Amino acid sequence: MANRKRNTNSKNRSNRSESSQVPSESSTLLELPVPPLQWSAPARTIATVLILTYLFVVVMGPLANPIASRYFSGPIAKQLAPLHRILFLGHGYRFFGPDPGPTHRLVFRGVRKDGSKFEGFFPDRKNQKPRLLYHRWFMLSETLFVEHASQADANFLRNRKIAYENQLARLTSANQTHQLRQLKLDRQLELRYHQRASERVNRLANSVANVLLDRYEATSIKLFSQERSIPFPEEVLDGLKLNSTQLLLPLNKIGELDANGYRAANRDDPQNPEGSNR
Amino acid sequence: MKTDLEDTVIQSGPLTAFIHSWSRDWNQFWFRPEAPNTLGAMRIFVGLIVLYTHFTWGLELSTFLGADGLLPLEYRSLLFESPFAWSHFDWFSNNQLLMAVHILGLLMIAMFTLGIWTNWTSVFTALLIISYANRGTGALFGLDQVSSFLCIYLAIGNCGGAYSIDQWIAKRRGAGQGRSCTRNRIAIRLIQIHMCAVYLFAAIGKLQGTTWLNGEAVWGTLASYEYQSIDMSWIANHMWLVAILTLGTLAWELAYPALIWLKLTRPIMLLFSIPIHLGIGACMGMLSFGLVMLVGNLAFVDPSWLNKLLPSSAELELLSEDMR
Repeated sequence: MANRKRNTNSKNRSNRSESSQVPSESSTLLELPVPPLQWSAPARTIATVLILTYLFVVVMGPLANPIASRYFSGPIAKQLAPLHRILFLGHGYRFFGPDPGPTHRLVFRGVRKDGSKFEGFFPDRKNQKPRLLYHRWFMLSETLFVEHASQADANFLRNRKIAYENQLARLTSANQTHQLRQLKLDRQLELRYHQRASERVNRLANSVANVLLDRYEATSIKLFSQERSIPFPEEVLDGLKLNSTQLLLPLNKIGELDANGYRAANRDDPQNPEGSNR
Repeated sequence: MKTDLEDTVIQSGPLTAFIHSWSRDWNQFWFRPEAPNTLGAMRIFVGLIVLYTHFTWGLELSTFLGADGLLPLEYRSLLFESPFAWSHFDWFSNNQLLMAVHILGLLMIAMFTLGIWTNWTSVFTALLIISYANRGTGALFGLDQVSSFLCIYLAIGNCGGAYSIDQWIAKRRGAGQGRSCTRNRIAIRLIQIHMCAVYLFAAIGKLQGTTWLNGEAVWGTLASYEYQSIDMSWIANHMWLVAILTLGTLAWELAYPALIWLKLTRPIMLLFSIPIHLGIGACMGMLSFGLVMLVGNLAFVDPSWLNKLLPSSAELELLSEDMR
């Protein structure tokens, strides 16, 4: 009834004031009239099931990202991944958590077709405007850093291999067939994970290098990730500027592109990090 | 005076009474028809933000989203290992065609913002935003996550039922104003719950660190040169203020999912959301993100407040009458 009152000809101002005086529902802030339910009980039941299912899908995203339980949220989120991808859900929402960390920029050094050298970096607040566009470049440099850093170095892989072989020998001698099968499966997944991590950063860095090569009409280009530390408050009070080069850490080479194609940097090369960064 | 149903429930015992009461509250929570005013206002704000976001993509469209751009299709495939991370950009390799499709997309978002054929444009806008986000994997941030789910929920509700050209045309034809309906209520509730999930997990993430607990995290965000858009380094002289801002933000995010539902504390939670999000927006160069979070908070604003701020449907109708 109240609903109808609200929906009828509202040219009549007195009608409007009447509607607004209908007592509000105590459990909410709404002071609008309480209209009757429009959906039938079966419709509401179906909607309830759909809503609860959807909310489960929504919550499983941050429950499984960035950290997932191996026995609960991980396997469920894997099953829900198609829905997360289709609807662009499944994010962790850990904004500035667990701690606001240092930032990373991508530095590039190249040689133009005429032989001259050039150097640049992104994000570059002077040349990348408006701010949202700058932020896209910034997120790209952060992604490149994260992907590059997530690769395992040779030493780590060697240690993992030794640990695996030790476990394998131990379980084989104890004739633990079930654990052996699980161990081999885990090892396969681990190797696949490292392989795909390398593929990801190489694909991304290759594309970035290609775009920069075209933009600067260059014949070769090298990509580096560079971390900028967050200064201590005392340092700032002593006059250190936030854009000071003192806060920049040495360059960490990601890879290079030239006429022979893209080559990822050797992470175990003692020459990497290379060069002066400042 | 008790109704027959209430009599039956009382006679059936406390469990049945509890179930009945719970069921009634559930129905009121999710299925009570709601006016489209809140969704209409949110449509305009989200539409403007999304329009700006996508206009900005367009400034370097082929550089970022082109087939030979910064973000290769293989990267997304390797990251997600899923064919479901779809994007309409996957079908276009020609940069001119890409730009043409992009301009059509901007027109679609503009129509959504203005409320033209909103039942259709809201769905297409939601799909468009998801598509851009999937294609832009590697250069995304919170803005894309929040604006995409807001658009999905706006498409579920009748967001063109108020403050829209659709509504204006309908009134001129004598069809009456946008009616209260159940899907508006569901859309609003989904936005509210999703916003709570965002704040809850943002707070949980912060609790895993040390600087949010020792009161120094805000310094870490303000002293980051890449994020900085306003020089706040003077705050190094007032670390007590940094501690208050840090712990205050953490407390607010932790409390939000609970206190936003209470009549007494809701205005306080909403009030605090303004300086927090505008502060992030202004000091850390993420104004669009700050604004879209504020728009998400609009779902909790009492519709009667919105009616005071914005002209109500009835007032718009009167204005329309006067113009005629």
